[in-house]
Amino acid sequence: MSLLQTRNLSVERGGAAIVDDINLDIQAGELVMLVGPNGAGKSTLLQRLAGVQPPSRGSIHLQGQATAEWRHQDWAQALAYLPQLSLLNFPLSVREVVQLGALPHSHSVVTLRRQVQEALERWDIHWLAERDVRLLSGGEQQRCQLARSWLQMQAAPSRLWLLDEPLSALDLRHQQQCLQQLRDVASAGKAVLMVAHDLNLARRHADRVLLLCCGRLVAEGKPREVLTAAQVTQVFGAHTQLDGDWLHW
Amino acid sequence: MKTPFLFGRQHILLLTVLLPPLLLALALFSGSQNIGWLLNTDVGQTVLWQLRLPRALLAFLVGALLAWAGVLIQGMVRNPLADPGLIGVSGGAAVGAALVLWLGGTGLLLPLWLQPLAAFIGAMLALLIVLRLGQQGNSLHAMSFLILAGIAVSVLAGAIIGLLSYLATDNALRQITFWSLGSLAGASWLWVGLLTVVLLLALWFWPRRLRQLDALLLGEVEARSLGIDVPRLQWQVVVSVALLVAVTVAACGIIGFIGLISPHLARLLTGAAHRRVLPLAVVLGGCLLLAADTLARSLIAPAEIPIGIVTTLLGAPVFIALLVREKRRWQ
Repeated sequence: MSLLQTRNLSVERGGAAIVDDINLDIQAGELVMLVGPNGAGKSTLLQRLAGVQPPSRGSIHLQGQATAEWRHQDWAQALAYLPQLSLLNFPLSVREVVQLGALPHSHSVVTLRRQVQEALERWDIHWLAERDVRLLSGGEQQRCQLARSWLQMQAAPSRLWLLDEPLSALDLRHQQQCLQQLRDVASAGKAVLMVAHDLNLARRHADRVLLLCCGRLVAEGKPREVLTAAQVTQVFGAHTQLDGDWLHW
Repeated sequence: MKTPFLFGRQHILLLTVLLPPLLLALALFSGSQNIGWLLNTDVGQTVLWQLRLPRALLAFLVGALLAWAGVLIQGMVRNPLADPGLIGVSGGAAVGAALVLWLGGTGLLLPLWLQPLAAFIGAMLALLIVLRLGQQGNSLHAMSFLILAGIAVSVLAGAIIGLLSYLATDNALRQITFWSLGSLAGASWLWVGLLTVVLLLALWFWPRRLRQLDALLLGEVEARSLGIDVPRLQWQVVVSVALLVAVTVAACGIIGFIGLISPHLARLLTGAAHRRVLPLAVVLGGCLLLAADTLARSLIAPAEIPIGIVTTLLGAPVFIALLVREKRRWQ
């Protein structure tokens, strides 16, 4: 079943098309990565898919339903969206931030406590649970936000997980753990769509890659078919060659 | 488990339960008369029950409501340095009140309720102007703009009050001056009742929305992605802050810094989660103003210092200390 479907999705800002006529279909079980150069419209596209703001034109269907009339609450129940890392000005503890992921859903106190604990452990921040978030390193803060978003995905109605550069601040071990969590969520009959910058990582770990350039969907498909040396060289404007199964630049 | 903050939960609970009655007793029995006279003569009884008790309660209520407004505005603009006074709301309210006082001085007979209403409208207008100026694109977190806009509106309010003072009669002038410095000397059971109603309204409205405020601390986009109708929540904050500030200004003029300091102290003590910060800040705000008023009454008794001067004298150094600490954190 198609979890997410867009038709002719466009976003204009100041008369310029940031996202131009995008048609997407995302299936249950998929881990899809969105790649493209700076300013390609990746973040804008993801934000519109998350329902944070309506698109200028076009339609978004989630689980077969038109979303034009949805309220924020409906969006928050159908999907979880994690924007790029933003800093917190206030002394909330890690546990309090993670717990906010349960806000759109109604849980019993017992379930909530168990799920929060599981989120903390899965994202390797249980030992930071009572710390002030502002005092953590960038990677730890990122894991805290990921755990919050993961918690939001645990409720049954949540089927789609949208993440904007979730790996950017993480070290190697936590990147691996993060990818494993994303894979687990996808395997549970949900779908993951994330923005990625590391093209080799996208080649290895994505089921499908969407290549965005200047707001347009330039190519989509199997990672190794989309991210060829020629295509990457052309779209990113940086000379690239393939060495074994590894893109070099 | 170790708490990252200054005190444990039990200490804080103890503090909030013990401090207000202690300060209340202190406020009732300190000042220009001795305890025996207050308790054993008819005049003393009248002073105690008709002057000192309503005044002490009003001080507590005003402090509590200002702290409430401070918690809301700081959470909404995601800036711990925002203060309902700093962003021009008090100034707007004072212009409304001063306008009514000035009109009263020209011989017009105005109903008593017009003053708080005018203060409310003034506060709303000021807040709308500041938010409009401070808004950048879609986000409200353009802090420097917001603070600058607040200063601009405060200066404008000051100029209008100056103009009204210039045009006013002697009697109206004295009243306007009294307003802009803030004083609890006009306390009565009527004001205590009115502010209690406002406090009850806030108590009815806000507790079930505290988690939404927590989510808003993460950021506007984050809050939306958690299913919160952010513009609606921001409007609720705006209207609440204007109402809270307007009634306090109408009751006793401009009282600075309580709304800034109380939420700060509360966060220092228990972290930023609103379900803990709000009640603690409200109690602390009440206690602070009660203590400040007791000082204002007794330092140069039988004369008294306007309360706004006391809180600002105490508050400005704290504000400077907060700025310095904020600066250090980013270095």
